[in-house]
Amino acid sequence: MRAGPVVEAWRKFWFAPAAATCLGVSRFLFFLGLFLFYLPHDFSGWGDVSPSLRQPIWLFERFGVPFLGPGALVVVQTVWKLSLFMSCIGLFSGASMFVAAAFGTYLLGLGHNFGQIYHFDAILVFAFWILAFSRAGDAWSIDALRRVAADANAAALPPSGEYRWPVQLILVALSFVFCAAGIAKLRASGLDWITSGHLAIVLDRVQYRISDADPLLPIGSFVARIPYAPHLLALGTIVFEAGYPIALFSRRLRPIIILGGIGLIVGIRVLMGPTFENFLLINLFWVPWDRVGAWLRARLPVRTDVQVLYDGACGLCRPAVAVMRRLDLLRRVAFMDVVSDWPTISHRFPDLNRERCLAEMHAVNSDGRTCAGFEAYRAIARSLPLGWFIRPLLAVPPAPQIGRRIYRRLAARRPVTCHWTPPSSADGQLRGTETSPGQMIERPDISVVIPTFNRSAQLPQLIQALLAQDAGALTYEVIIVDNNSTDATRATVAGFMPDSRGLLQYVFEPRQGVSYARNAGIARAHAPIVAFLDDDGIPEPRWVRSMKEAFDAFPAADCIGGRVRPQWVSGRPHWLTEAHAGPVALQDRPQEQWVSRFSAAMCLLTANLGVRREVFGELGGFSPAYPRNQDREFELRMWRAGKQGLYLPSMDVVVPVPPERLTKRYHRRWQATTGKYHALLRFRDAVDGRGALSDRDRATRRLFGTPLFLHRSLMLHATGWILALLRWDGDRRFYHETRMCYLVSFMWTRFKTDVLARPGWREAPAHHTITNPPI
Amino acid sequence: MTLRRQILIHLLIAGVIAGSLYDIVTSQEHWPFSDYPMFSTIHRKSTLDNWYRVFGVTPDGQERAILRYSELWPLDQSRLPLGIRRIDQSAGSETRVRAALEDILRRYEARRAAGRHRGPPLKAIRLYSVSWDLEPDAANIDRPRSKRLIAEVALSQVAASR
Repeated sequence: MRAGPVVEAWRKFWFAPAAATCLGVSRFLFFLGLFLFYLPHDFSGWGDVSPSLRQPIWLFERFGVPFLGPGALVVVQTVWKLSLFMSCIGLFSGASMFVAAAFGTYLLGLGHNFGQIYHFDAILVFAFWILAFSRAGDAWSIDALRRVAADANAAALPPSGEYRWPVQLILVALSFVFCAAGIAKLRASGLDWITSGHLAIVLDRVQYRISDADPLLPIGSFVARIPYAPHLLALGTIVFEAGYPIALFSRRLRPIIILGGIGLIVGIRVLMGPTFENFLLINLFWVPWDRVGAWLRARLPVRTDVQVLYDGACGLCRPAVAVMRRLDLLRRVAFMDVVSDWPTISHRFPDLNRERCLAEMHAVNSDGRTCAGFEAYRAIARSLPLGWFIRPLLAVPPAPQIGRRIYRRLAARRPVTCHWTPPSSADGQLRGTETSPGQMIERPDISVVIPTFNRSAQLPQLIQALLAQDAGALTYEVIIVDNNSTDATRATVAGFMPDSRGLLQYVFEPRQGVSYARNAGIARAHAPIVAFLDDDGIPEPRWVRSMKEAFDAFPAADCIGGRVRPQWVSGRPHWLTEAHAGPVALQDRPQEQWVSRFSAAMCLLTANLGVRREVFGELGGFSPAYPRNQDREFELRMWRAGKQGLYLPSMDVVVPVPPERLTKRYHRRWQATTGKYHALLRFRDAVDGRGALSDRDRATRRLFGTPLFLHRSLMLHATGWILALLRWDGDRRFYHETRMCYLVSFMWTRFKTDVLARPGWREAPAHHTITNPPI
Repeated sequence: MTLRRQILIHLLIAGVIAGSLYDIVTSQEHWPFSDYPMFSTIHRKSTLDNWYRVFGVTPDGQERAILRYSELWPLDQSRLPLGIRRIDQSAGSETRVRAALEDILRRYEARRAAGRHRGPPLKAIRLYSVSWDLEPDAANIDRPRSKRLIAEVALSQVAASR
């Protein structure tokens, strides 16, 4: 075999870029668990045990490690427990983890010099040393927050191999533990270990109190007498132990093997006694915490509990806000810079005074109540997960009095760079954000609105493409709406400002959600045509001109959408046919097509869409109630209001398709989410097979809230899936699978909304109506 | 990642893998490396033979097994019997076994006096080798098949030796 693929596989296994979050969260929970576990544990007794009982282990004998007395052990264990806590919170994490490793090896190894080596803590020692050499303190640590406080504009840590190898090495060490145990059994006893039923004898033996602790449940003898149970337990033990390394390589078998391993350890503790509780903690390193976080955030309701108004020129506020942004794990806090976002703030909170907001940090709760200074911090603490622990302390007297005094002192002495006052605009309070220093175009022909969230890496290409448009005599403006990004979006846009000839505007929208962002952009738009692009799209050089010419050529069109073509970043998978265009946000039809209430099946994608501004005045903006499919919802409102749209293939936008959108898992998820929102929109109920939109639900026969024809459709796809499976046609099978994902999600949503939520579910509900959302 | 850092990480990886493999292949134990032999040998007879157990003798002459962790701390009901049996089976063991028992009795009484456990006062402790024919739920734990005295230490001897 050539060395190349082997080296490549080695690198991929150990050093494929991984998010710092996984290692950081694992470190945090691992050390937290150990700290809590060992806090009541007293190691000083080993210093008091007679030397006559000592039988030194290799490590102590070979390196002449001394046996300390009780007093010295008290000091060592205190330092060790402190280092566990500091490693948990990530304070001086490098040094803390080294101390935890060195002292932990000594303290955990000490007991093994007296009689017997237990096997539950060796893996912890490996983990200590591996973490000591790692950069596990880069995320989820006080050290990380200190770095953010020192440099508020610091970009988020990029994925790196530094965050993968420690996790992999710990898991490899764990696999050795299990695998070695399985091999030891087979080597010592062969298959007799399974077939002889000796586990029944072991289960009886441990009832005689010969383990380091008694079994948690007195059922060992009972289990031993269940026919074949000892044999099956022995078989399961050998299979999971010897096969444990497979979990390192097989994603499909991984959950089964990990759960099997955990079950094994729990079973030993429950039936036999040996204490393996701390051993279980090592399984934390299996969990992909970044994906868990993303999964949780996707399921949390999008809402803002408190809006914080701070002085962006203040040398204390900036780092404090940067730290709080990191701590805002649930995205419940929106931060607005009084210096740069004052137009938005004054528009939203007309009662607030700019000078007072600059003098003290303000917080506006969701019920509209405003507080300032120390009270603002208390309000923020209510929304930050970490603040839940701190908040009670902030309320206990005399903490509030002391807090207010300290805040006033710090506020009086804080370093302030400069306060820039935004220019007042001719047409109202919304014109002129601070990041558009040049002369803005008074009455552009087209306003291009681009909502963006944490895509600072992709933005430059888009902005360059827009600023370099071949627009001829046309005038246009580009409005970048930063939807509460935590990366360098603001700085990226600011970097283009000097050369933007006044075309570029930066708007900050703290409320999370693309509908909020688009509506904020519409509110800032001055042109009669508002065009939308996604933040990863690249318009062709004549895109603006094509858009304007199209609206001039088709005065009956209230909106015009264009072609969205893919740019395959990492190649196109064979299974990704036209049928799967939706999840990768593509729209590549060759012919012009009108869309209206008579032909409403097509959705004009906001990745390349222009809308006449008066439509928004009449119908409102995009609905924040729809984090997904908000374009579909808006267009249904348009068609119902008698508007019509046009698809024109000549308006071209290219969208790079990132690798994460080319996984089958992503496609299944996308279909499920779309099914959910189509159910909420009652889209399939209102649009018939020819695409005609009716005002009433067309389905008269329903089962569990879902029209019967969709049940039939599900059965057809299920049949198709089985046939494709028998024909070994993977692509076709996946096609049916995605449709079933869509339909099952649709039906489940409808079951929840129409059946569970309403007692009279047989009656078809009225249309899901949305009050025209204000812009 | 610098070259030095890469070398360091690869050394760490190699150390963990090589150490683990060495112990697995040679069936040795170099803690924290190990071949993890626990429960690997099979038991064919339904008996528990030659298990060392420490019994306390109360002032009224009653014998009581000392098993609770709080009474044996920092040792436990598994580590102590196995350790003390290994000492007993080595050369010149008598003195070491007696010293170990004195240590156990001294700590037992000191911790009892300090209120760290609620065991009765003891006037002596005895080390037995005990054997059982296994019964479900250890129903005969107090009625072993055989019980052989290995050593006995009285509290007065502990006080004298100090």
